[in-house]
Amino acid sequence: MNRLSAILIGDSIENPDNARVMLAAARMFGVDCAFANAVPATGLSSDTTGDPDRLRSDSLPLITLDAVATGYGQVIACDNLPGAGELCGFRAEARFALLVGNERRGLTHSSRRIATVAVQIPMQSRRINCLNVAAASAVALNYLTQMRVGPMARVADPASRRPEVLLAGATDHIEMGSAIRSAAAFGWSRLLIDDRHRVWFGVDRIVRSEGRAAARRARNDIRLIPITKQEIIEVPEVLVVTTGAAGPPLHRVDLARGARQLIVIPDENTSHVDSVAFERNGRRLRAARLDLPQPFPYHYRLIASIVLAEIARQVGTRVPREGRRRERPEYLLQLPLALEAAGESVSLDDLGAY
Amino acid sequence: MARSLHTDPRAIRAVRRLLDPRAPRSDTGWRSKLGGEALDRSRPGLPSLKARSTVPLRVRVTEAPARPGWLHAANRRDVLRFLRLLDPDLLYGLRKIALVQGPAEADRAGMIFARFASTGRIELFEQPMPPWFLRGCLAPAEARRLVDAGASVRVDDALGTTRIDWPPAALRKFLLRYVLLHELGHHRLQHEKGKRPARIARTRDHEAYAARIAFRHGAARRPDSD
Repeated sequence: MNRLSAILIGDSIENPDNARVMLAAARMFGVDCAFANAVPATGLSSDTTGDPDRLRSDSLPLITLDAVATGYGQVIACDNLPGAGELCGFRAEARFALLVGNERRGLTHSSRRIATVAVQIPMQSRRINCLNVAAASAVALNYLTQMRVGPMARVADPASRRPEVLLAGATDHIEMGSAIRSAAAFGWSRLLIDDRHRVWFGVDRIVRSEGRAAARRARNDIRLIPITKQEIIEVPEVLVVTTGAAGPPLHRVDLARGARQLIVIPDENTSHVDSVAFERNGRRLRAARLDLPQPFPYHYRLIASIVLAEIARQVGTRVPREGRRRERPEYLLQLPLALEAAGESVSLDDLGAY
Repeated sequence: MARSLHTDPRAIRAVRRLLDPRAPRSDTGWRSKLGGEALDRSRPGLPSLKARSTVPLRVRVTEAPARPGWLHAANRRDVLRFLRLLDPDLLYGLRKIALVQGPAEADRAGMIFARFASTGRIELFEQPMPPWFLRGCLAPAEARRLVDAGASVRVDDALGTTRIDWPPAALRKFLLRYVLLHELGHHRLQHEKGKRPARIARTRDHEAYAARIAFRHGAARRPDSD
């Protein structure tokens, strides 16, 4: 498949940083990217910092929806619309346009009208029903252009198949917040955080507010547990997922081994993966690679969201119960675990400093 | 006047019905109801101790192989041997004990051991190979119960995880003496409703009764009896 024949189109994107990361997501998969609206210039990081390597708001490529409708045979709307099919397992044509919508309102009526097919990323959470738009673009492009996999698994007990996930060494609070939002949307109720660069716990008020906003913390009740390298996580298997060349491709690895498995998603921006620390923590250290065709500007939220989406696909969703259940007395004997409160664990020092 | 045997005390009725499930349910039998000659049999009383010790097991025990990485700590033979040690009172009306793979319930926190489904069917689920790694902290009372059964429980409050190690024999005894007896307690209580799919007690009371039965009969077993 000629990947350059595909295009990612942002419709009514408001946040210029999202537009910038969407461009990075498109570059990651070797597809074009354009916007159906002029993204507001104010607030674009490079406009104020003067960083020449970063994008300027006036350099965003624009495209009209008419040009999309006439130029691409298949126009795929990616939104949780009624009747939208499941993204996983969907086979796109060789030449397609992928439409993603506004951060709050989704796709506009005009863009829905030109769409020939609608797909949605399967969400597991009842409170967080969408991803960050750039993260959603990366997940969608991954399944449409790169990772040829089947649909989401249908299993009896997805909760017992869900592994522990450790987000390690993120260097940017917004990237971390978006990754946390993705984890909650894909159904995780708890996450381990290795905050070695101090971007999440014990940070100043502004960084804290921006990070929590990116994570949609007002609705996101995921429990975040800070850990350090010294702490022992007792699991038989540790799987480190990177974009490097080590290990088998991600989708060929069993990612649904439940609480016996810890999946580490390190930020490869600055930190290297400390395999010695993980080997000490787990009995078996394995690596899996995320195949990405093009060199790209690294954004942690994109990589983390792609990995979390693939884990969620393998973990699966529960089989829908058909028909009315017969009311018969049934009694289950189970080992009750104390319910974990939502929120974050904080140290006394951080609490005192706050 | 026909004298019903249905009102016999359960201990007597259980032995009689297990010994001869198809015997008439009254001392006059169905012939008298049709105007025929009454059966010439004396009303059965409390079965002798010898008869009680030779009560046959009228329960099917089946075993589905566990998935890779999982196990049935107590296999079919262990279950049968254990059932032979129990009072007929607990087994009366029990139809099937199935050693099965994972439960169909989804999104339940914690580990599921067994299920009692009326009427008279018990499912014992496979368990993961020890050690068990649980996401969440085990309540102290439950941890104490497992420790009493021979497990080693380590709760990490900071990470919110629990690790449980089991010696093989201890896990088997736990499943038989606590889990199976607990489900038999449910059966013992629910059997009073016969085949009707109706609850005989609130869930809370049902569980409490089952726990009492498990404690009473589990504590009465000799340490080496299973």
